[in-house]
Parts: sequence; C-alpha cells; structure tokens
Amino acid sequence: MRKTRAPSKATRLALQALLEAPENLHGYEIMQITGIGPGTLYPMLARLEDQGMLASQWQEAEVGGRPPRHIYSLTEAGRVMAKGLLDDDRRASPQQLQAKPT
Amino acid sequence: MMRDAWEKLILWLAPDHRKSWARAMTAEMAVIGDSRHAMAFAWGCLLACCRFRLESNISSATTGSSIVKDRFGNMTFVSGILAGLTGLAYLHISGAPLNKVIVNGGAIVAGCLLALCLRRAVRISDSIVTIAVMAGAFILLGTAIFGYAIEGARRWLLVGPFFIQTSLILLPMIAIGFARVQNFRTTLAVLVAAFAMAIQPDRAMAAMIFVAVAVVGLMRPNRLTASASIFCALTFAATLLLPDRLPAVPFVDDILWSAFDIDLWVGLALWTGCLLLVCPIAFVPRAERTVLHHVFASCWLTLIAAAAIGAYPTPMVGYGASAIIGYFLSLLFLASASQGRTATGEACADQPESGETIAPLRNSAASFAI
Repeated sequence: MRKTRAPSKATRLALQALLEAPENLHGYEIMQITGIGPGTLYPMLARLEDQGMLASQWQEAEVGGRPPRHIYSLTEAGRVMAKGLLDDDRRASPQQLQAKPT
Repeated sequence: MMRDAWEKLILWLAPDHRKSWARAMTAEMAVIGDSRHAMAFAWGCLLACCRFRLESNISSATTGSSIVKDRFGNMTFVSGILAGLTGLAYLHISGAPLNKVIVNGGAIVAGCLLALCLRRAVRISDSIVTIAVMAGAFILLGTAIFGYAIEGARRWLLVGPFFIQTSLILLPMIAIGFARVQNFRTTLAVLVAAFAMAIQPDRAMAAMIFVAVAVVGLMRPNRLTASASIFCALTFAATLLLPDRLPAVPFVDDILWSAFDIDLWVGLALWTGCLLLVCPIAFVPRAERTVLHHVFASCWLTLIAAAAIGAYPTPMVGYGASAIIGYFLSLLFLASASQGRTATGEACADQPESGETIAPLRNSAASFAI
C-alpha cells in the first residue's frame, strides 16, 4: 500500500499563496510570495498538478516577443485540501504560517 | 545569448513528460529583468529538471532488482559528486592555489556532463566496450612512449594548460570493460595497458589493473583471465623494481595523512570522501553482486590504498583532476552492463565469452543517469 505523506511546509506555503491570491499566479510570483526556490517549487507544482490539486494553463505574454507563461490556480479539490491544511495549521500554531521566508 | 544556453540546457534536461514545465520555467526566466536574479532562477530551474529526471528514472524502475540497480547506479554517481566536493573543500581549506580548485571543480562538472551525455547518446553494447577498451589501451601505450615525462615517469599528456594523466581516466574504464567482456581483444588490451603502466612506470595504476584483473580471474576463471592476471602481476612487480623518484606534489599527493595536520576533521572528511567512492557496493545485496561491482570497488580501493601508502594522488583530488573524470567515465560501462545484456539476449549472443549470468539486473533501463 502506498503511504501518503503530510504536505511539506513549502507545499503548505504555496497552497496558502494560491488560495489567498485574488487571481491566478505565475511561477515567479509564487516564488516571490513564498520565498520558495524554483528547484523546489516546480517539482512541487508538477506533483500537485498530477494529484489533481492544481490547474495550469498558458497565458499569452502581455509584452510582445515574449513566450507565453504558465499561470496556476487551485482546483476545487485543491482548494478543499488547502483550506483543510491551513485550518489545521492555524489550530496547531496560529503564527506558524504567518512568518514567510524573505 | 547566455539565457539561450540556459534555456536549451533546461529543456534538454527535462524528461519528455515534463517538457511543458521546462518551457514554463524558461518563460519565467524571460520576464526576470535583473540578470543576477535570472541566473539564480536558472540554477533553481536546472535543479528542478534534475529532480524531474531523477523522479522519472526512479518511477520507471518496477522490479525489486531494478530498484536495487538504480540504487547502486545513483549511489555511485552521487558518491562521485560528494567525493569530488569533499576534495574541493579540502583544497580550499588547505590553501591550495585557486587554479587547482577551479580545475578540480571543472573536472566534476565535466565528468558528470560527459557521463550523462554519453549515456544518452550511445547505447553501449559489448562490441562498443571492446573497441573502447582497445582504444584506451593504445592511448595509454602512446602516453607511455610519447607522453610528457617528469623525473623519468612518462604518464601525462599536455592538453592546453592541463596535465592529463591518461591512466587515471582510462584504466578504470579498461578494468571494468574487461570485467564485462572477456575476449581475445579485451585481453590483449589489458596486456597492452598493463605493459604501458610498467614502462611509464606507475606502481599505483599497475596495482590497480592487477587487482582488477585478478578479481575477474578469480570470479571468472578461464584461460584468458588467468593469462591476463599473470601478466598484470608481472608488470606490477616490474614497477616495484623500477625506480619511482617522483616527489610528492603539494595538495595532491600524501594528503590522506597530511590532512590530519590541518585538523582532525579535515583528515576524517578526506578519508570519508575517498571511501564514499567504494561504499556503493554495500547497497547491493550480496546475492546480486556481480564481478562488475567487485571490480569497480577494488579499482578505487586500490587507488586509495596507493594514495595512503605512497606519493600518489587520491581519486578525488588530482594534478589535472583526471581521476574524477575517470570515475564518472567508469560508471558509464558499469551502468550499461545490464542494459547491454537485455532479455532479448542479443548482446549475449554477440559476446558468448562473457559468461557471468546477471539475470537479476537484466531488464531495467538507465541506472545512474540523473
């Protein structure tokens, strides 16, 4: 049987950022909000997408000549999971997710 | 220009099913204005693609044995990198000139890239092994005859500003190649290589090929391996009789003991780094160890022993860092061993003289490619 692991702190931060963002986010924006490096962020986003928690789509660049960018949003399942995790975290340690790495 | 190169590297490194993620990363790179931030981002993306690649390799392993093989392949690869980094740390702590640090650091990168590129580009069959082993042996002989000599030891080729000790690059590959394929041509190549070590002369490398061939001889006794073992024993004995006047080179030779003069932890770290090169065999269950595993471990153990006993470089720090490149190149033959003998039996039919059954390791794909 495959074991499921509790999401890492980085995953929780990314989920929080995506949950609280007013609109869909680019990868670099998630990086800036959470302080997670791309080496961790992209494999994590890919995994979340594989699990059906995250949706990604291509968005045409606003500036001409630049390639289209990926934007990310939580799926319904992702929102439910993110809310559940954040509620758990807030109950366990109210300030745990407030302090974001800079 | 630089960004283009990074983008190509990132796209190339990502496995096929993650290419769209690689494109997403490169698109983000394009919007980062500050070049320092873009560079840091690019390094992170490279790391992400390495993780994608690693996950892809691990997930493709489906049987117990292939997982074991992947573990061994990945361990040897990671061990090489860690040992190389330990060597770099030692050079830095001991106050070695910057150029030595750069050369050794460059060798780690070059060795990794070379091994990965060749692993992707060439499907190594036993006939390729035979050709490579023969070519390597004749390069060693050429070095022994026409190479650069210091104090009577003719071991180096001068390539640009680098002293390349060809034996450190090619001899582990020859030894593992011979462990994999024993036929008349590879045996001849081993004899040529051992002869080259005798006339260079190089006791450490002569010992290495002797031990490796003796291991093959013990595990696969036949006329070819027996004659190769006897000849290598003679050439090693010859190197013991010939004078070896090379003085110890600072920061390279005798460092396994002199490192303790800097600090106990430096010495221990250096020994640990060396033993990292040998320890991956411990991750292979005894029942699944083949002659390749034993030859690989004995090659590097012999070099470490030589570095501990005499004025010879450790595998992780070198004049031109040849051993680091040699280590990664030797992984190439090791990793391809089971791939070369697929379940279809094509390679077995091609080389019936390589008699050992390595059935548990047959059916899996890449082993050390990360």
